[in-house]
Amino acid sequence: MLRGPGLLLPLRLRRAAPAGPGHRRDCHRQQEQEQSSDSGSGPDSGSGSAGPQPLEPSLLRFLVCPLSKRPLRYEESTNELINEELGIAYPIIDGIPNMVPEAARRTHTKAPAEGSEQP
Amino acid sequence: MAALRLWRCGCRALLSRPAAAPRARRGLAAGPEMHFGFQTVTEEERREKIYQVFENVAKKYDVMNDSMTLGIHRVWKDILVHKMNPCPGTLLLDVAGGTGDIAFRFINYVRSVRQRQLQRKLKHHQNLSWQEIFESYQNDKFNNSLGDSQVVVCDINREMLKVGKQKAQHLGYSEGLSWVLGNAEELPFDDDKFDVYTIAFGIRNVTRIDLALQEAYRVLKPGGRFLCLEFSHVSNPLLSRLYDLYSFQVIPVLGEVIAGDWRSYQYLVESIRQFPPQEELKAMIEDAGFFKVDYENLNFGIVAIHSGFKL
Amino acid sequence: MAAAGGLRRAGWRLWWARRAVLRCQQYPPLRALQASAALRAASDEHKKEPWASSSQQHFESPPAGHQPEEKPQGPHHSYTGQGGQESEDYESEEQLQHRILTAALEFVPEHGWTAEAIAEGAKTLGLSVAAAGLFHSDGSELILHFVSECNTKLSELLKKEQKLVQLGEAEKKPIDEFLRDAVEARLRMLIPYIEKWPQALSVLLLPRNIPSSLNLLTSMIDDIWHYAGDQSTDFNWYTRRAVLTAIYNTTELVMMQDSSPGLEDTWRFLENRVADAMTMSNTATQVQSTGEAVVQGLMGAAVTIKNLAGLNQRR
Repeated sequence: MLRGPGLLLPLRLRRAAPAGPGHRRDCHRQQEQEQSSDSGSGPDSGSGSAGPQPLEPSLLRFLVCPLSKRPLRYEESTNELINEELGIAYPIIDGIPNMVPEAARRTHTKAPAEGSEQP
Repeated sequence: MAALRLWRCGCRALLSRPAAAPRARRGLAAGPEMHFGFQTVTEEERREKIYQVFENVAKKYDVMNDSMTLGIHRVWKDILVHKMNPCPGTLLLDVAGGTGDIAFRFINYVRSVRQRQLQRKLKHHQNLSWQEIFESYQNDKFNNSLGDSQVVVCDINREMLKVGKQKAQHLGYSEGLSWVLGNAEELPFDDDKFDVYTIAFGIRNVTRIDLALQEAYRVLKPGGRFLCLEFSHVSNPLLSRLYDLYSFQVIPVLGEVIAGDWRSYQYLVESIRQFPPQEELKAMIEDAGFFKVDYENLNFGIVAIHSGFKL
Repeated sequence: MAAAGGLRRAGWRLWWARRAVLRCQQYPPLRALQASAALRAASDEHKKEPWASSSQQHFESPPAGHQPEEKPQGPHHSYTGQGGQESEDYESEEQLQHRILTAALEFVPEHGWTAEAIAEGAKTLGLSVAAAGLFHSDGSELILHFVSECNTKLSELLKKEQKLVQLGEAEKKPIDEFLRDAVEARLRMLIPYIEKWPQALSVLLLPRNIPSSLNLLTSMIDDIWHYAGDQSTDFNWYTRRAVLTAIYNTTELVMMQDSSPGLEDTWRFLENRVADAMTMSNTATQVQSTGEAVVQGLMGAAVTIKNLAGLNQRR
């Protein structure tokens, strides 16, 4: 019967897809991508969706500017932590504040924000 | 067959490295020249190179740890947290803890201690009246399964933090965990904030160890504890030879086969050799102002846990 | 008779001097100052005071990784207050540890003899809870500290009484009453912690702690005998220690299981044991009584072990 092998072939191909941990990992990764969009909000559900994730309020207790060790102000509109004295702003990307001086942006001169990929 | 070819290739490359590597520099910036593994580079170059090493290995970091140390690194990290013996309400700063291993163990430990505390409280409650029980429920933070403990994971490398955050979501850790991108030599934290500061397998990648130790001293509360888990020097000569053999012959090959990155793991092994031995690191920690500095060798000195208190 | 008594007294003093020297050898030579002071003091018949204080300090030193108190070349140990300013009085690490342990004692009824109690104690001093990491996680140091403090308090109490007797303001007690009062005073110090004391006893029996705890016990017993004076020449030196140790241990165990009001049963038991010891002293030979005392001591130890194996909490 011609149908037999024909039917079997796609079945075999499907079974050949890794049913092991790799497959599960892919599933999880998909789930993670869905979760990561609303998990970073925590108790303070700000933007929520796939946009910039707000900072956990408990972190603000500890964070200071690494250069001057002065407290920072959280700016919700731009999702940054601003040091008024020195006039610099640290970006928050994916809910992780980037507290390295090289990544800070000057707020006075409004220079374009440096890429956060730079060490 | 391919593995054998790789091995030969690795051996040839190893033979080409300078035999007598200068070991004078121990992580202190005596001028702009520093060590990167067995090479000599400037401070800036070193930072960049290290950043790239970890950017490359971030995704396979855990797998490589397991295969290099044959899974023993988990035991080492367990011993570190057990030595810390945190009680609920502890604030932990885990520096260079990108993929979150120490942070997760800390949370598990504190959770179990908290459960035991609650059980004991319940047993005690059997003698109280309903009114007293109700009042105690209101006063205590029974809802908080961690008892107010918190851990902040700080790393300089974004990739490592991303991997860590994904792992946290995957394993279901949500509360009491925060992620910050920062430099260990210039911590973005206020003075006298944390109860415990840990740095596991990270301090040898720091360019200025003395600065990192000073920052650690600064952010710890009085009475706070500094804990450092790091590869160290093996004193036993026979074991030392076997260890050298394993490190230089096997690990870079594993790196190539598993992570596809031989150079990063070559750097890793070399950086272990360049790191100061136990007594020297102990002296550096004491210089930063810590008291009761002590170290514990694990596996004959392959790994050592240094501990100090800010008193 | 007088010559024998005099010999005995000299032997006692020589033994103290030897103990002080042994202690000097065990610990860093910088402590020799205290040991030699003890030697001098022992020979001058101003006993116990410097020895008790030096023994107290010895048992407070942490078991692992300790730095001697008077380290001349090391960094100056100073405790910086929370404001980052250095406090007026520089204190060493050991003094700070001593303070933490003292502060931790008030949390023992609630948390037991554990690192949690030490953490709470550290919190009251304004330190981080991580300071509990300075000590072992099983609370050994806390218990040893407590025992040593109790012994010191007992010493002072007995010394005060002795002073009163010397000034003529109080009458000298007969030996059995003296022993009874001393043991009762010492055991009463356990009352606030009696719920968790069995746990403490089992920790004191850990192999690691046995040298220290035995030492503390024998020094306390010797203390009591010292203040009891030399009136009791019926007992020889070995008997005294064994007898009183047995009395103390057995009474302590009875107290753990006593639920009578005001612990009457315990005090009655103590009275009986002391009376037994007194009658025993009047019997035939010294050797026989020593043997009996040793057996009593062993029985006490056996009862201890048997009870502690099944003793989780006060009945």
